Amino acid sequence: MSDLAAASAAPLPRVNLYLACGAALTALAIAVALLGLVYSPYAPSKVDLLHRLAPPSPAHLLGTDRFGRDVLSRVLAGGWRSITLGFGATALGLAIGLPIALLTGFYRGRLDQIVMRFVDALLSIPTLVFALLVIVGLGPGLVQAVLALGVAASPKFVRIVRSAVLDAASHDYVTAARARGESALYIQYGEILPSVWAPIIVEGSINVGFALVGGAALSYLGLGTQPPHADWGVMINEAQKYISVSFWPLLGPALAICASVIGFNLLGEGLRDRLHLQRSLRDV
Amino acid sequence: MSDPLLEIENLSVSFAVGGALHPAVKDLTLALHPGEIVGVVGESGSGKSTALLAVMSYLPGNAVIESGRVLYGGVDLLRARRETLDDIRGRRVAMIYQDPTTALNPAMTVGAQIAEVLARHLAMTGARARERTHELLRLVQLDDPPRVAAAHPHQLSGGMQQRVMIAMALAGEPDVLLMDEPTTALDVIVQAHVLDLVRTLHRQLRSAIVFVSHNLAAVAQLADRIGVLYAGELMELGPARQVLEQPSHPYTRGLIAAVPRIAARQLPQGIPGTASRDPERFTRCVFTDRCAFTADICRDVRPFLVELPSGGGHVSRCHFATEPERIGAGAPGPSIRTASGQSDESGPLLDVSRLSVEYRRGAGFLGLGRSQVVHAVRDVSFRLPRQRVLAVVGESGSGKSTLARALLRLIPAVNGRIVFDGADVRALDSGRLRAYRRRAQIVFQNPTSSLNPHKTVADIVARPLVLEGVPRDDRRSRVLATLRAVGLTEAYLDRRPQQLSGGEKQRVALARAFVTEPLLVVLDEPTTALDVSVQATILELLLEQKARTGCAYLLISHDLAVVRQVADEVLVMREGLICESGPAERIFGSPSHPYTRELLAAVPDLQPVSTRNSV
Repeated sequence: MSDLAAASAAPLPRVNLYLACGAALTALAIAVALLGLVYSPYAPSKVDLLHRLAPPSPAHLLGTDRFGRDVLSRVLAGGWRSITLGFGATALGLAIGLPIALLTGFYRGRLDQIVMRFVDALLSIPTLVFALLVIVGLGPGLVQAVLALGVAASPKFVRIVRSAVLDAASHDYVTAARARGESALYIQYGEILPSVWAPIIVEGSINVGFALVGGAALSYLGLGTQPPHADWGVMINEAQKYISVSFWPLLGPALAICASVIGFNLLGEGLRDRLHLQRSLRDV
Repeated sequence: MSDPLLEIENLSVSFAVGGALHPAVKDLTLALHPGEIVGVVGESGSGKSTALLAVMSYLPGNAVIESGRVLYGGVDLLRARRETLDDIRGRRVAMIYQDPTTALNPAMTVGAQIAEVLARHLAMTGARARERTHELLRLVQLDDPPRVAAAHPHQLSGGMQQRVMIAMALAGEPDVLLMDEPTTALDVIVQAHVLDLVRTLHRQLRSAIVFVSHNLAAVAQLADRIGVLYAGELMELGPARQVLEQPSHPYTRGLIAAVPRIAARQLPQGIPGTASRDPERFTRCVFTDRCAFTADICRDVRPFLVELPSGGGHVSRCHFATEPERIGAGAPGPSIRTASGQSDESGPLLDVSRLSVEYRRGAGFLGLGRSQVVHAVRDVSFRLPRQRVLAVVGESGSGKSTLARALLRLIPAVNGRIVFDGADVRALDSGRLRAYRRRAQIVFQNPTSSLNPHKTVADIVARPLVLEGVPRDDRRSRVLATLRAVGLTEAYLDRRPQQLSGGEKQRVALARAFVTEPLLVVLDEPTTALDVSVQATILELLLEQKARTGCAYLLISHDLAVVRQVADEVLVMREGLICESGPAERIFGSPSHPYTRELLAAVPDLQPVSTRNSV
């Protein structure tokens, strides 16, 4: 469509609702986590047996849990663990997945076929079950949960990034790089990697939300953050046993998880639209 | 003259992108009379596809029709109801697209796809539809219609697919055929056959045809009248012979001068600059920026279509259309230049003997399945003297690109010797191979693909110097010098490929190839992806660079007219074998192999159809 090329000079549409909402919610979640590192209304582990399972009040804005601990303080204090889980697991997943994807997508051939069948096998295991398998080997704890979720996420990254690598590697600029005698490593990281950032960023931000839920699930199962430390998953785990008495302790952490997961997913969707749009405008 | 069949009146179409309107077609008026062929020529961005899509009401969602009507049989197609359109599109007015591989449904047999049209528009089904399908396939000169009808698109060649597309368009027995670059995706011989077919069908069926193409020579083969579109406006329209032989508009004249001719060794002339995309461009003459005869009035006043005294409805959108001497009519054509220097050093630069390349297809998982060995290049021998241009010509699948890649050791050869500057290329160790690759560069067909969109021009051009270990300070000056040599300025250093036009991108690709001053540059269809007016400037630039650096070219091309202008030696390849080789003068003057003769005969020339018929 040669005539549409005229359109490519136009500025991109500035308003992207997904991107704006996603960025705002994500920023809020990160702000909460950072604030929790330096400030909370009460000490997060301060027990107040006289005010157990209290509804919200001016003194306790999100109520108290079964030991009378302030829910808001614990949401703030636990935030960084949950967010770290999300980012840490995603970063690890990428650190494992990206080099494999570049390697197999660049060299193709038998290596690619063997690695990808193996990846396919891993992909058939649900991520959480895969993470549980890893935890079984490593034992419970926050660091172990990050490792488990990161390893579990890596096959997905291999799959997604590899297809982008295949696409980029089919361009003549890769052949041109080979023709002028570039090393395989430079071609992978200097020529191909910049072209596959778009899917990496999109999948990465969606995966942060996913790992956050996974981390909460592991914590909920008692395999992630260990009590008395708080993270949002642990808090839900503790609060749900008393849900028939009071749902207030559940509300704070549940909202925090929902907001961050929705935020990261919207951010991913928004980025996808925007990056895809840029690409499609460039290609006409 | 009879009443027009299809009338486009004052059509203006814009695309809404990011809240702004970008005009694509402005005030287009064009009438199509029964039984005539109107050729519409335009480069990318000229609005030719948009105009066709508007006629079919197939414009994308962000298109805005700002004014105009498209009348067919008294119905305004732009405002017709869906049901009315459905009865006209495909039935009375049918369209043939550029790329049959995407226009045909890969999941259906071609017979079923043609039968679909018959059932929809003529309520023809069962045995009658099958019979008619075979008739249509026979009409487009496909052998063994039952076999073709039972085939899926991927089982047919590109030329056969395009014939199927034409059969499908004819199924509704339309009065009007719209053809959008129907031969552009095809090889030169196939293109000649499809053009022949269109001519024959037109003689048999007398349907009116709008033939849209960027290829002026292809249009000249068919059209009764030719319209020239530029930046969304009709610049000139008239009887084919008058437009080609007495072009009135400076753009038309430039376009004709830019077409390489096979008849003579004469460099085509490019038109400097690129088409304006400024939304405000219609307040002046849209060609002002690139016109050699621009006067004040051109920048201030938009010209009307002026009727020329030569008659025949010949009109031109130029302020000076009636004063031809003001715009250089009758000026001498481009001077003939000798395109090559003589080689004085002894010993060939490249000496290839008995080179063969094979690859395996369909090897399956881990190469365990049954595979087929494809002999892409068989027993090819040739010599390329220093500072000369050797052209390898052939259709796609002839093995010419494989040969080029094997020479650069991008793919392994199975047999034979490649001696470059005295060294056996196939035996080089990795260090020497790197040195070889610095002295043997490659330029690809499509600069959009060969330049990494994420890098700046400075990074792209400097990279070969980084590899060579040139210190940073020297790098900058050498990059700048090379950019200037290819006609770019310092201002381009920080731009990225998507900010450049096609011609500028190819200049950057050339700069990257020349910055290390190689001895050999492989040019893989270097002008095929470019507009005609830009093609000529790039060809000129290539010859300049050769003169400046004293390198040799291995030119891969299927465009014999381009080869004619620059090659010293020609190698004709077919199915991996050399058919014929020798000095360009001899190959073009007295080809001995029948295949070479066929190739040469297939090249369309600018001779208009009317003179052709009278011969």
